[in-house]
Amino acid sequence: MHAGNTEGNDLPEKFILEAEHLIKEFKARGGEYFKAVNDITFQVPREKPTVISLVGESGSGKTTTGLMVLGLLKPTSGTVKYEGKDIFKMSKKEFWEFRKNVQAIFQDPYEVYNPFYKADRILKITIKKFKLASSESEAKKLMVEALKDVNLTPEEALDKYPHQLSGGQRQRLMIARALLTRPRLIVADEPVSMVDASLRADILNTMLHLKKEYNISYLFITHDLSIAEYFSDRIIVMYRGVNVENGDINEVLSNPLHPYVKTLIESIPIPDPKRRWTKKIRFKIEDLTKREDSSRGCIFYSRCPVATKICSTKQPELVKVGKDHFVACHLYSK
Amino acid sequence: MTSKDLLKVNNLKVYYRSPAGKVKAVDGVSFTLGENEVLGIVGESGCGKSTLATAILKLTRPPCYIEDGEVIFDGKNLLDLEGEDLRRIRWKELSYIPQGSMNSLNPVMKIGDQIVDVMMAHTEISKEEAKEKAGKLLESVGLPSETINMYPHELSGGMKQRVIIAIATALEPKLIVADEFTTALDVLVQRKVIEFLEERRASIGASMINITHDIAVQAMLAHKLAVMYAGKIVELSDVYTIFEEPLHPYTKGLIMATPVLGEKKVIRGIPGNPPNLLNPPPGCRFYPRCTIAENKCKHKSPPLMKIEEGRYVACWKYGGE
Repeated sequence: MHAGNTEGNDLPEKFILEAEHLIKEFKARGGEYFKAVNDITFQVPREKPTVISLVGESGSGKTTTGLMVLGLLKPTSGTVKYEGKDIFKMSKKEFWEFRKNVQAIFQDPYEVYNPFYKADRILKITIKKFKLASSESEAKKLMVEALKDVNLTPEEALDKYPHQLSGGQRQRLMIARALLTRPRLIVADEPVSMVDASLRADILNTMLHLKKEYNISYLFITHDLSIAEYFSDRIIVMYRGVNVENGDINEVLSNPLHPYVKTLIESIPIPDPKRRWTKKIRFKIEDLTKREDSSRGCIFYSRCPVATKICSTKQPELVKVGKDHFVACHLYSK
Repeated sequence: MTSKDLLKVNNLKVYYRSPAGKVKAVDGVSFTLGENEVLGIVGESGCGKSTLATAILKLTRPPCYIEDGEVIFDGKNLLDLEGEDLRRIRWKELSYIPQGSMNSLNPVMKIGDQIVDVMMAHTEISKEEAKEKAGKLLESVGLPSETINMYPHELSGGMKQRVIIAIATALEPKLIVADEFTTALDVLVQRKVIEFLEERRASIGASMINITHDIAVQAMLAHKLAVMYAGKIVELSDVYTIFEEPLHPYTKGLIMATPVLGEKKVIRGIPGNPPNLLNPPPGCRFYPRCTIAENKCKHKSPPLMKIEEGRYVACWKYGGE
C-alpha cells in the first residue's frame, strides 16, 4: 500500500523522509490489541517543499502517526526513514541530526512551555542543544530573526513569560522555536485548532510563507478539511487508523470517492447559508462508538451506506483511481 | 415590541469586578428575538458572548454582575425576578445548554433518572409518567429508549450531547440558549447533533439563541446573526444578508479569515488584537484594527443603527451622527 508513488523502486534520495507501513498497536482493556495506526505509508519529497495533511476525526490515529514520524513513539512494525536511514536505528549523532531537521509544533500553546521560563530562555535551549550559535550575540541575532519570521518583535516576546503572551503569540513563539534549526520538515499537530479564525488565518499564512522562504515541508495533522484544502498539497484521510483515501489535495477533494470521505465532506459546516444542508445525513452515530475488529473486512463496513457482502470479509486495498488519487474501497477495486 | 417578539434585550451591560477596575465584558447590547426564531451570536474568544448568555438567564455569578439593562422575556423583566419566581421560569420556559454540558451529567445516576428529576422538579407529573416520557424524549433525539437505564460513561460524546438536548427540551421551553454546544465534537457527530437539536426545537416551536465562534455552524443553523466584538454587537441581520453583503469591517474580516471548502479562497486575518475591556478605547472598539477608520471613529463609539428593516450595523461609515 503506497501512499504516493506506486513505482516502489524510487531511490531513497528522492525523499527526505519515508514512512513505510507504519503500524502501532495498543493494548486495550481485556488484553486485546487494537491498531491505532494500521499501515500508513507516505513520503516527503526532496524536490520541492510539500504539505501533507493527515486528516481524521478523534481516534483516527493521526497524532499517533505524527509521534512515530518524530521518533517519539516506536511503531509496532514499519519504519520511518530519514535520508534513507531508519530513525529508530540511528546513532545518537544521527538522531541529533534528524531531530534538528525534523521539528514539531503542537496544538496547545498554553501547555508546551515551562511557565517559569521566559521566551528567550525557551529559544536558547534549542540554540544550545543544536549548537546553532557560537556567541551570545549570534544567539540573539538568531532569536530576533526567528521572531521576525513569525511576525513577532523582540520587544513583544523576548523578555516575557508565557503567561504574558497571548494565545496567538505563544503559537508564533512555538513556530519561531522550530524555525531556529532551519528544519526541512515540521510535524504540526493541530497547530491552529485552538485559536480564533482571524489568528488562524494569520498563522497558516505565516507557515505557508515559511514553506516558500525556507523550503520547509509540513506534515500537517488536522481534523478540519477546509483548512487542509487551504494549506496542503497532498492529503491522507485516516479512519480508525487506516488510510482510506489519499493523493493530490485537489484531486481528492474535487472527486472524493470513499463513502467515509464523501460523508465527511457532506457534514462540514460551510460558512455560506446558501449551501445549507437540505437533507439529513445517512449515517448512524451510534455506530461511531463501536470499535470493531479490523483484521477482517473493511474498517468502515458497519456504517457504510453502500457496503456489499465482500466488505465484511475482505479488507480493501488502496487502488489507484486517478493520476494521483488512491482509495481503499471495494467499489473501486478491479 | 410586536406581539411576536419573545425576548427583548435592552441596553444590557454586564461587567466583571476586578482589582484593576470594571471589565466591560458586555457593554450595551440590545436585540429582539421572535417566536420560533434562531439567533446566532458569533464572535471571537473574549468578545462577551458567553457572558451575555448567562446574563440573559440571570445566571451571572460574582465577580460578574449586571450593571444595567433589561431582559424582557414574555413581557416580564427577568432581571427583576428572584428566587422561586425565577426557578419556576427556568427550564420550563427558558433552558440553557452551557458549554461542555455533556460533561455535566451526573456520573452515578442513570440517564432516565436525570431526565425524570428535571421533569418532577418543574412540573406536576407522576414518576411513572415522567419515566415514560423520558423514553420517548430519548427516541426523539435518535437514542434507543433503553438508554434510560444507562450511565453517562456508557455513552459517547455525541450520545451524551443528545441526552442534554432531550433534557433541555423536555419541558418544551419557549427559549433555548445554547453555548458552543457542538464545539468539541467530531464533524459527523456535530452534523447529527445539530440536526437533532434543530428538529427538536422546530417541533416544540421554541426560539433559540445559539452561541458559537464558528461562523460556518451559524451559517448552517441561524435565521438571524449577531456579530459581537469587544462587548458590543457590531452587526445584526438576516443570516443570508450578512454573508452575502457584510457591512461592518469586523464582520468582513471574520468572513475573510474563514476558508470555504471547494472555493479555494485566500484567507486573511485581521491585523491587531481586540482591546482590553478594562479600559476600552473611547471611540469605536474596532478603531485600532480598522482599515477604513476616520477621525470620528477614534472619539465616538457608533451605536447599532438601523440600515433597513431587520438590518443593523454599528459603524459610522453607514451614517449616523
